[in-house]
Parts: sequence; C-alpha cells; structure tokens
Amino acid sequence: MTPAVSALAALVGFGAALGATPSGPTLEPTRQVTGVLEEVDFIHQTGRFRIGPADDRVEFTLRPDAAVEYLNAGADLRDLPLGTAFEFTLHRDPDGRFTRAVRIRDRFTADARAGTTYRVDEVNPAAGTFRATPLVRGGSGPKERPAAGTTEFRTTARTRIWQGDKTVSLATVAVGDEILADMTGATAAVCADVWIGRATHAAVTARQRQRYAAFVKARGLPARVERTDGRTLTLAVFGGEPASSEQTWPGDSSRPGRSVRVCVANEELRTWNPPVDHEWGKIVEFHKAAPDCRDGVRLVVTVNHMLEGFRRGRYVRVFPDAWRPQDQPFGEQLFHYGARAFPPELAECPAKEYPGQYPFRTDYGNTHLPWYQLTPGAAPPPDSEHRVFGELLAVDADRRSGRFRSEETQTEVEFALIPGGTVRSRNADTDLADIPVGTRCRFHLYQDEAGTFRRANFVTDEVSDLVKNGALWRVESLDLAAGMLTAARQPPGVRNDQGDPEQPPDIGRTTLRVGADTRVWKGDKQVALSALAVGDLLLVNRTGDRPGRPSRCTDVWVGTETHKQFTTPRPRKPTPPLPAPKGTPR
Amino acid sequence: MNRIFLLAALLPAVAAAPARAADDGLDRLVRPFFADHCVSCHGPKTAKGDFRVDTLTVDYDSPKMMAHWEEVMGRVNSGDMPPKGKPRPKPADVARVAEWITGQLGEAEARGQAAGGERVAFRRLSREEYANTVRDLLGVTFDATDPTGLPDDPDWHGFQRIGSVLTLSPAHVEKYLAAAEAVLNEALPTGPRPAREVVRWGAFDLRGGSWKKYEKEYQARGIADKVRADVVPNNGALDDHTLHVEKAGDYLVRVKLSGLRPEGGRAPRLRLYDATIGRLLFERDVEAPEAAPVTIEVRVHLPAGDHNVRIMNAVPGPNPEDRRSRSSEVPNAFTGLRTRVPWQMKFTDDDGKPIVPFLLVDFIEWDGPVLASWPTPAYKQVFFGGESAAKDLTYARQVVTRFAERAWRRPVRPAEVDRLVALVEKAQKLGDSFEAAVKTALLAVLNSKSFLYLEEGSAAAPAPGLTDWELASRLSYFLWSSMPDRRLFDLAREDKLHQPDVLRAEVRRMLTDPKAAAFGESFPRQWLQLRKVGMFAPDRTLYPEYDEYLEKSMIAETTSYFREVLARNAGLREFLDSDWTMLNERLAAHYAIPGVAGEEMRRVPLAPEHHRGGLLTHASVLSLTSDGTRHRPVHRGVWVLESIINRPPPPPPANVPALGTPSAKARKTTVREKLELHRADANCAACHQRIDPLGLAFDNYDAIGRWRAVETVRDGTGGGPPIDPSGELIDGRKFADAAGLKRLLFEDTDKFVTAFAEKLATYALRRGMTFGDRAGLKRLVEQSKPGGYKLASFIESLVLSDLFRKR
Repeated sequence: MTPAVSALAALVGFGAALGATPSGPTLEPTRQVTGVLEEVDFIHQTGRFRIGPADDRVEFTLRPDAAVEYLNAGADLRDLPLGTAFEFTLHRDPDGRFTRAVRIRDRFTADARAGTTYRVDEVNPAAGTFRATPLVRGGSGPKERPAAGTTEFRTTARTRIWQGDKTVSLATVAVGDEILADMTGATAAVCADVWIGRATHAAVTARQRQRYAAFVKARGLPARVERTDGRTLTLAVFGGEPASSEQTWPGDSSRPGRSVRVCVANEELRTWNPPVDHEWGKIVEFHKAAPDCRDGVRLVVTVNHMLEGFRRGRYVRVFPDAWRPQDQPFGEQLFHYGARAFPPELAECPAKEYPGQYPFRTDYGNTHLPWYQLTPGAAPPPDSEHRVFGELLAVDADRRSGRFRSEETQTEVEFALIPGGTVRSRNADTDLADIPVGTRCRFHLYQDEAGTFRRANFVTDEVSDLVKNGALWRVESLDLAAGMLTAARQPPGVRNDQGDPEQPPDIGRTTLRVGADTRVWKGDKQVALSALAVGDLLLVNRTGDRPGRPSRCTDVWVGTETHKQFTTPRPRKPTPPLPAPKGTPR
Repeated sequence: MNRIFLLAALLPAVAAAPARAADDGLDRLVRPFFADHCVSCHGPKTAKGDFRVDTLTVDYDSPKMMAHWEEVMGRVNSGDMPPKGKPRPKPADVARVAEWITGQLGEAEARGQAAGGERVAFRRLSREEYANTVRDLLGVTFDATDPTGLPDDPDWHGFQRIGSVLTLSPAHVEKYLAAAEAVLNEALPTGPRPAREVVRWGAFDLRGGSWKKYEKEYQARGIADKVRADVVPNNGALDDHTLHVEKAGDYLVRVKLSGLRPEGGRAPRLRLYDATIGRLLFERDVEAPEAAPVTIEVRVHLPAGDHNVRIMNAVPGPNPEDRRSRSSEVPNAFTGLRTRVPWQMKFTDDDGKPIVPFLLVDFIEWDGPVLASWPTPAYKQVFFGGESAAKDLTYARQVVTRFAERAWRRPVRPAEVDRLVALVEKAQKLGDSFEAAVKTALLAVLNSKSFLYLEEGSAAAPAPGLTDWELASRLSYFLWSSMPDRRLFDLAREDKLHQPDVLRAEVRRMLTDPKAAAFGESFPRQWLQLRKVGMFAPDRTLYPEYDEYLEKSMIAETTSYFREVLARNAGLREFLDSDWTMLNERLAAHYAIPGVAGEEMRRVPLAPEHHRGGLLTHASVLSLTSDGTRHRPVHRGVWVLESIINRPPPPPPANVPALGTPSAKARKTTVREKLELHRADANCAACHQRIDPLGLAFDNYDAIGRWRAVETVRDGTGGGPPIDPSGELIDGRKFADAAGLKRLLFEDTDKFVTAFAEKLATYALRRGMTFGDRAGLKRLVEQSKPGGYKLASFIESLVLSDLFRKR
C-alpha cells in the first residue's frame, strides 16, 4: 500500500458508506477512495488516478469481474472521462497493495442509486457557483434529506452543463432545477459535469446503457467459471445490465436446450479468436438474480468440447444464440494472424498468461518464486526483468551507470548497465549519456548479489517505447492555461481483411501536463505551446512523477513529419559483447 | 527373367483324358428336371437360341462345357427360365439343381489347380513367403508389403497361395529384380562398417516451426529440458518429420513419453507411421503418469532414403481437426498440464485428472543401423572362405553352388552352375570386384524360377510322388511359410525325410519352432477369410468406437485362438464352441467382459452371459460378414456354408433387389422381418431357406460383433424391435439362438472336420480339393476321430498321408 493510499484509506467517498462493497467472488479487506482519473489503458484494464492535496498517484488494475458504473449504467473504462472524480473500491494485490479495483463509479451513479438529486436554491453566474439542497426520492415524491443542509457547487470554464443532449451556460440553471453532478476532485466541490432535470438524467443513463450494451454485445457477456463437471460449466455472468436484460435473452432464448457459444478469455476479458475458438453449448439452467452473482445471472451450460480455458476460476465470454461471435478490435484481440508489426504492448504476454512457464518470479506473477538471477555470459530471457519507471537523475557514462528516482517508491536507485545491456533514446541505440537527466525512463532491472534491483539490461525513454509500439498520443482536448492536455493513445494503422488501411480504435487515454519549460517541436523547429491543437499526433518525453509535482512533458514532437526523425531506421551503435563466463578458456 | 517366361511357356500341356463327373446327380437329379422344364424349348425338336440341354455333359476339362452349365444355373436360379407362362419348377428342385451344378463348377476349378497331368508343377511363392525365405536365406528383413515391396497376392476363396492364381506379371519381374538387389546389398555389404548413429528428435524438433523458434528462449529460462510434445487423441498427430536413412537395415526406435488415461476410459495409443513407405512402424497403448514417463524401444527395419514419419495418438477422442489441437503462436511450449493455452483441448479436469487420453512425448530416437557383426553373418556364410580365400573362379563356383542349393531348395546341376559362374567371369571382365561379380550371379539365383517358384516334378523323370527335396519344401512352406532349414535339407539329401517316423518327428519339431507362428497366423486368416475384416469400414457415425486397434484385436482374437488350440493340441470342436477365448483389454471392453488389462492377447474364461465361445462369435467373423452399416444375415449364412461346412451356395442371381426401407410412419422392423418379405419370392426362398437360418442365428450380434437384445433401426416408429435369432435348418432341426445352432453344429462335428480337412489340405497343397482327393480326406477324418480330432495330430496325419506326399 502506498503511503498516499494509506493516508487516505479512511476517506469516505460521496456515495455509499465505507465497506458497502458489492458482493464479489471473494471477501477481502477493501479500501474505498475517491480519486481523479488521470489515465486509463483500455486493453490491459489498468489506469491511474490521483488523490489528496499532493495529487498522489495511485495505479490500479481492474479485476475481471469489477463493476464499472457511470451515469447510473454499466460502463467500460473507455466511457469514463479523465479529470473526473470516481469512487474506487480496491482489493489488495499479491504484494498487499490496494491496487485491484473491484468497483469504480461516479457521483452521478452513487446519487442516482441512493435516489438523491439536488434542488437548486440559488445561482450566482458571476461567481460561477450555485447552491442546492439534497432531495431523497421516496414513494410519495422528493423530500429534503434531513439535516443535510445546502451545498455550494462551483463551476469553471471546463465544467460541462447539460440540458437534454446540449451543453448550456450556468445562467440557464434555474432555481428549483433538480441536478446531478460529477466532480473534479474528492473534496473540492468543482463540477466536471452538471446535468439539469430528471429528464436529462434519464436520457444520459439510457444512452450510457445503450452504449454499454452495444459494447458488450460486440465482445460477449463476460463470465467467471464457477464449476466444471464433465462437459458442463456453471458460469457467473457479470456483464452489467446486459447480462440479464430482455434484449440479451429475447423470447425463450434463455430456456434450457437453447444454444449459446462460450469463448475463452483472459483476465483482461480479451478473447483470442471467437469466430474460430468458440464452443457451442446448450443451456441447462438459467437463473436470474442469483444472490451471489454480481449482476444476477448464473448459467449452466453443456459444451461440445472442454477447453483448457474452461477451468474453475477462469473467465470466458458468452454469446447468446442471437449474438454473433466476433473478434475484438485490433489490439484488444489476443490472437492475430501474424499481423504485421503487431505492437509488443498489445500482444499476448506469456509471462502473464502462462506463469508456469517461468521458473522465477516476474512482474506478472509467480510471487512465490525468487527473481531471475543473471548468469555471466548469458542473455536474460524476455520477461525475466523487473520493470521500474523513474526519472534519470545522474549518469556516469564511463561506467555505464547512473541514478534514478523510482516512481513507485520515490527512492533513489544507483544502477549499472550489465555487459550487453542496451539503451534506447529517441528510438536509437545510444549510451546513457545521450538521455537527458530529468527524463522519465523505464529500467529493466535485475538483482545484484544483495538482492537489490540495480543491474539494468535495458533503459528506454518514453518516445522510444511509443515508436516501438507504433503508438501516438492524439490530442482530444486542450487547457493550456491549466497546462493540461487530454490525449488518446492511438495504435498503429493496420490493413483490414480486404487489405485496405484502417485505423483501429484507441487503446487508452491520458492527461499530459505541459508548462513553460516544455519544448514543442514541429519539424526541426521549436514552436510555442499555443501551436498545439486538438487532433495533433504527439510523441512525448516526460519528467518523472513526484508527490506534488506530477510528471510533465519535457519534449513534445508534433505530427508524423516530425516523427520521421525517430521512425526512419538509423544505424545501431555496436553493443558491447557479453563477457565470457568465469573459467571459459579464451 | 526371359528364362522364366521361356520355362513357363515350355511347361508340358496337360494330356490327361477329359475328366467326368463322379456322381450320379446328372441322371438322377438334373436330367429329369430338364425333361420337365427345359427340353421342350431347348431339346432335339426346338433348340431356341441354338442351345440344347439334353446334350449337356459334365467335362471338367472343357471350359466351354462348364460355361454352359454356369449359364444354365444362372438362368434357372434367377427365375429367368422357364419363361413366363410356363409351369414353374418347385423351389426345392431349383435349389437342388443349382447346388449340384455349383459342386460341378467347383470341382472343375479345383481340377484346374491340381497338378495331375503336369510333369512339373510351378507354384509361385506368395509375397509373405518370399520375405520369409530371404530372411532365412540371408538374414535380411524384406518389407514385402511396402510400396517398394511386392504386389498383393490375389486369393481364391480366401487362400492366397493357390498356384494357378498366383500368376506372374511384368510388374512382378521388375519388383523381384529390385527386391533381390536390395536384399543382396543389405545382406552382403562391402566397404567399411556403417557407423551406428543416434538421431534424436526432442520436443522442440517434434513440434517443429511453431516451437523451434522458442528453444533458445526456453534454454535461457532454464526449462528447455522440461518441454514435451503433447499429442491429442483421435489420430491427433505431430507434424511429419523426415528421417534420412543412409543405410538400409534394422534400427532401434526409442520413444520416451507419458500416456495419461482418463478414469474408465482407454489408454492413449502411440502410433508411428512411415508415410513414405506406407508402413505402420509400431503402435502401442501407453500408460505412464506425467511425472514418470517410460521409454519404449522397438526394432524396425528401414530401407534407405528419406522417411516421412508421423507420430499419432490413435485412440478415439474429441475431434482434433481444428484450432483446439494446435499450438500457440506465443512462446508457450508444453512443460506441464498447467501451461496449456486456453483455447486448446482440455486434457485434465479441475482436479488434474485426465479427461481425454493423451500423450506427452519427450523424445524419439533412431539408433542404427544395428549390425550383429561385421562382416554380416550372411556375408560370412556366403563368402565362407573368409579373407584368406583365393578370389578366383574356383572359389566363386563354390560360393555360387552353396548359395543356389539353399536358394533353390534342391541340388544344383553343373550346367546351371556353369551359367552362373560365367556371369561372375563376365562381371569381373567388366571391372567388378570379386564380391560384386559374385553378387551378380547371386542376383540371377534370386531371380530364377527355381527360387521364385516351388517346383514339383521332373520333366525328365515324371513321378507321382514327391522327392524328399520337394517334400522338404512343401512341408516347410506349409508350416513355416519359408524355406527348409538345414536339418530338412540334410534329411532330404540323405533321402530320409519321406520315412514316416522321420517325417512325424520333423512335423513335431517344426510345430514347436517359432517359425510355425507363420502357419498359426496365415492359415486361420486365409481359411476364415479374415482379410475381409474392415474391408467395408464400419460407419463412423453408427460405430464411433470402432477403430484400427479394435479391428486388429478382432483379428488377433481369431488367429491367437487358432494358435492356442494348436499349441495345446486341442480338438477341432473348440472351433465350434468353447468356454474360453483370447482377449486383450480393447476387445474385452468391446465384449463388455471385465478384468482384462493390457494389449497382449491372453486366454480368458467365458461365462454363458458373455454370449461367446468358438469361432462363430468372434467379432472378426461377425464383422467381416457385415457391410459397415448393418449386420448381413445372408452374408453370415454364406460364410458359415463356405468356411465351416464347405458347401458354398450357388452365387446369387443378378439384379437381386435390395431390402426395402419401410415407411417412416410404419413401426420399426428388423432385418430378419425384411428378409422374410424377400423370401416370399419363391425363386429366392429355396436358397435362402438353407442360407438364412445360419446367419439369422447371429442376429444378436451387431455389425461390429457386439451383443444386443434389440436391433437399432433408424427408420420407422417405436422403439428398437426385439431380435429373434431362432431358426430351422434345412433338415428340419430347430434352434433357439446362436448357442442352439452351435450345439447342432457340434452334433455334426464330422461334417465340420471334413470341411476343415479340405481347407487345411488346400492350404498345404496350394490347390483346391477334387473328387479324387475325397477318399484321402475321408481317411484323414476317420483317423483323427478316436483322438478327438486334435489339431496338431490332425496336421501330423495330413503330412503323413499320401495326399500330402503325392504330387
């Protein structure tokens, strides 16, 4: 558990009381915190939010059966706006840190579930504020919440105020309106979004529900295998409202004997190749609202063949009879027919999926095993490293060593490159000295004799990693005054089945911070920050993240022409040879 | 080879007088029938179609006359004659006439095979005998059934060693030349001793491209030695692998693997198939835990060249024909049951117990060529003089003479040796070394008629009996399917073999020799026509449990049953019924007989509830008489008449309609009920009254020989109809079921033994039996009766009989 999380562990969010977590598959000690969402990875179902006055960062990984709720409907991470505060319910990871999110929900959802709206009592457009009294809706109509008092809501230029499907100004808000709002922080009453009127509330909920239903239909209902018996599977289906809705199971399609198709999935709920690897099954039992299923459907099916992925505790996706099993979009799908230049960050990670293939601990599993130990003269295998992000603080080029501050622990680490170790900077093989001090890097580390991670076999800056994966940040919104950009992570373009080029969907979203010391490059010229525009494709390098001083861009390269300096092949620097093991005759 | 054709062409024509029918059936039975139904149109007054029946006689040596009889039988049997509007003969009369004609046609055919009038009889070795002979002559395995081997031998009523049927085609000539060359090259190699090498295919090699690229990564991870190749069931196979064999010879194949059997299911079955030569190298059930693999070692003979080897798991199971059985495209080789890809077939349940039979292969090694010594034993035997011998024509003459005498199984005449030595001389003049030149002569020996054919008789000195040399060969090829050994040659050379005591002792010696397994295997296969097993592969939908292993086990039950009777010198009645049989685990499971584990056939006691006993309830027999979709009672009846009673029925008339398919709305009916409708036709009834009861008695056994009480019928309404296996023989005796029929056959043991004697003699003498042989056969049956028709004694009696010892 990070100190920041620890400090804020007792912080009560704006919705349910502490500990009022949904009934999950396992009951573990949980933490419930409210944080501002800063980055999400749609593919790996991870993200980062910030909490507290120091903007402490908290990384999270969504559990496969986690409930993500937005606008009082089921949602995917893609649906969640950055810069908005969410309530995170977290479980412990194997290292004991609270990083496993089992529920994420916004204030709108929490209030709507509680039957709460806010009646506007007073509006002050000049100050950008309004006051409102909470109402609790009961059987006989809305009532003021006893002893709740009134709350002041603040808006800024970035606050979106919704009436129907249009944004309006604060002046439109009238006394007596019932509003719901999402906020920009855990404690500050600054609104990210305000929705005016119950009709608007219902409409945005319905739209989100529809959007999420379409999302699930394209991917199949996620489910956890609770039991196997011969060729019969008992599945807890947890796909939100779609899991049990009439639209999913029209007519008698949920009756025993009707067909479903079951596809294996990993813990990110990514599938391999549903059109090919689905298994036909017949429904044996269908139970709605099973008390121990999060979203209320327990399905017993008998499949034609048992697959390895049909094991107790693993995850699958279920396609009801009327749904067509289809591949997930490029990047999300795990199986790929030898796609050209498939980005490494999106490929199936053997160390994560098959930890039994690694006789040592990795960043993805095997916490019960020791870490891989370097052997003189032998290159370490892939995924044996411990990956650490941090800001480069000092370099001793002659000794191929240096010092960085770990983002995770905020401690300074002395490191040295091992013989054969490589450095990538600006997408070129370089020396450590070529990376400017102050750059955020990823270090692939191995333990030294004392068990400390100091021995690096690879160091890379962010721009090299982006180029390696063919990824770009595409600007979605700008607030240069606040020094903030919202950007989508765009995977490389591919050719579809017909050979036509197409741009796959985004794979993540982040908040980039810029400032006066950020250098912006177009071609070989440095330009002003104000030259940035929505839609620009960026490569960036950043500083490391510190408490109270979030990571900021050091350099921003704008546009594909500018990026050619990185993507055009350049000669590699020779890598120093591995030393011969001791005792090897020369 | 021209010499072979020349000799074949010069064979003396048969000069015997036309053979006449030996019984009175023509006057007693046939002529009255003709008079009543045929002569009015095909007689002296009116010869429609220019054909008269009143002048027909029986002349076995006249193909034209016998063809007339065949035509008559066909027309009468099918009901074409008498024509419409004429009075119909009684079905029983038609049946009797047809049966008599069938007997005459059979006699004519058998006489054609007999050597009665020939001065010299030539009977070609079957390909099995050829392979056995070169094995015993040169110590070399010749894979006769490989594509590079010899053509399949045709059969006559199941027998694949009948002289007149085993003809010689140009294809044979080419194959014999190639075979002899390959055999001599392997037996008599020259030059340095070939290095014995071990080729190992590890798991990364076995998985090939999909895994091989990960080998270094796995080495770096430190688990490369843990990688194993998984093989799914239902003939799931690893990618083919090519083995290059530099030198033909014997190779040791070692396979280290685990085989996991699901609870209550079958063990996985390793099959190594050489696709290049179309040969199953070996197959075996494997049961070994994941953590305790076993190493199997077998010895195989491989010709030189590239061999495409397929490694399979030949046990039924889930369909592997799709993604489920493929490997992943990420670095994920198999190292344990917890490391499999989610979309692959599931091998174990959540508690780790196997749910399908699968193999985990660690490696396959090819070790060879394995040589007993260098030079080879054959080399030392042929070039008996060793390195010190003078390599001149005198020595060559000695070498060739010794070899030819063994190969030709008789003394060699000087003129024959002269021709062979001349070959040596000529080859040497053309530059061949001494050994190579001698091999040229030996090649001629192996391609001569005296090697390829069993010769009996002498053009110079015709005689009715066999010489001792001929007797040695006849005996040897009867019991060993191979050439005589040194002792038989010695006895022949000493002219002692024909002496009854000597001959009896030799039969007893030979039956206890391992080479007698050839007789124990070949005779029952040919007698009972077991080559038809699996000829019509059972429908995979109707009989999903049927597989090659079951098929082999079925045949093995019958052949090992025969060997068991022979080894114990048990009575021939055991073939009709018994309280034991030979089973392995696979067949025992098929018969629902518990308590039998393992692949080896072993004697298993039977209880009445098993519904088995004797040959007639062997799944092989019940299966070979089915057509792949259902049992065929008529085929079963015909088989009993042919193989057990040796009174084959007339062939069916042309254009027999198939059994009808009932309306889908009608109740389900058994095959028996459908046959009843067929038998309502008077023309069919006569023969079917004789045939059908013998087949219907086994209706409780389905097309693959499983016991059942009701018949599975697809079309119609209601449940499966119950089976009625009762019947009545043509002589009026009734039975309730298969057991009842076996009891009636038991009562007629003499008839069965007579039939068996004819089959055994046909096999031994390589020809059909004629009327002239009947007396000898009858004596044989009578002699063995007091002893209870014991099989080994019966064989002994046959060998000692005049029938066996005459030409």
